[in-house]
Amino acid sequence: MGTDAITDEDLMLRIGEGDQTAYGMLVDRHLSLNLGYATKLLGNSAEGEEVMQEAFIRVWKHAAKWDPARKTKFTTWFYRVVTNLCYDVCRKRKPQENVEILENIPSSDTGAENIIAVDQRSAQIKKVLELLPQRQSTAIMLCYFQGLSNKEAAEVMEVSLNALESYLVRGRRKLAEILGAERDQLLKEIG
Amino acid sequence: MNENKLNDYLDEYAKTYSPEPSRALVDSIMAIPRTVEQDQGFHLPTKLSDWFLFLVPRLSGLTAACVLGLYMGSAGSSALAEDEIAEMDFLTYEVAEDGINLEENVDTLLDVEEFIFVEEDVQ
Repeated sequence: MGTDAITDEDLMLRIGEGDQTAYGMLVDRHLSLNLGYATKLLGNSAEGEEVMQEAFIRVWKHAAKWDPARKTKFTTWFYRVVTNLCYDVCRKRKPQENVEILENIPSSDTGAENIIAVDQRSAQIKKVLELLPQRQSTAIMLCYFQGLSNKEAAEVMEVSLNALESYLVRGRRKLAEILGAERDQLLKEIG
Repeated sequence: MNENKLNDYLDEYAKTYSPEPSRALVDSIMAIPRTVEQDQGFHLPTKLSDWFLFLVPRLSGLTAACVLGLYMGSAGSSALAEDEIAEMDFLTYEVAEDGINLEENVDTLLDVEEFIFVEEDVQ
């Protein structure tokens, strides 16, 4: 039986019995994707790494309490843990504290001429996402960047499907407005 | 800005800000099982004998707590009674004939009665 056939929930049960191999498999499956999520949500790679470390401590500590009868998906539970830890980090930040712009993260874009333009646009998106209310940016992160369905994202955020959809619509509208306004401003300055 | 353009921008952003975990992070996460102790899970027993072993110490504890509560409750009520008795030492006594009000304890009252008795004898 291949390792892919073992579900995350089965791995959690094995981790609960102290199986370190199962823990390693779970880390392999979820670290990279969730690190990207935490980094985008916090806008800071160092804080993202701290959150991931704390999240996996919780996986290890609480695995023995994992109850398969509740039929909770591991990914939903884990996203919820990471999201809440990110919110905690945001709350602990001082109000005037500026989060450093992510740097030295290798871009997967191979077009050398395009890199600067893409980086600039991405930095702009990052800035605008930080301006959005936390729930709206979380909804966008989960649905667009993490590829979760609306239902799954609603479960992670512990809101109704309608509320989630409302966050998405309002968030996207606001993003488009701010980016459109900035683009118009830039075009005016150039023109 | 139209929807397609926004999606393109979001895709670019997702690709740009997707850091790979550093070696140090992976090592520290993989070291967690060696450094952090697991919480023990709580599961209800499934077999009848397990239920017996599960219930006996809990019921014993509960019974002991109830007995102790009853004992402490009764001890508390006797203490209250003693307080009430102590208050009675300071009752107000009135000597009706002379119209004298005495707010003293019982011993004082006895002294006064003795005094009246001696006075009557003299007369």
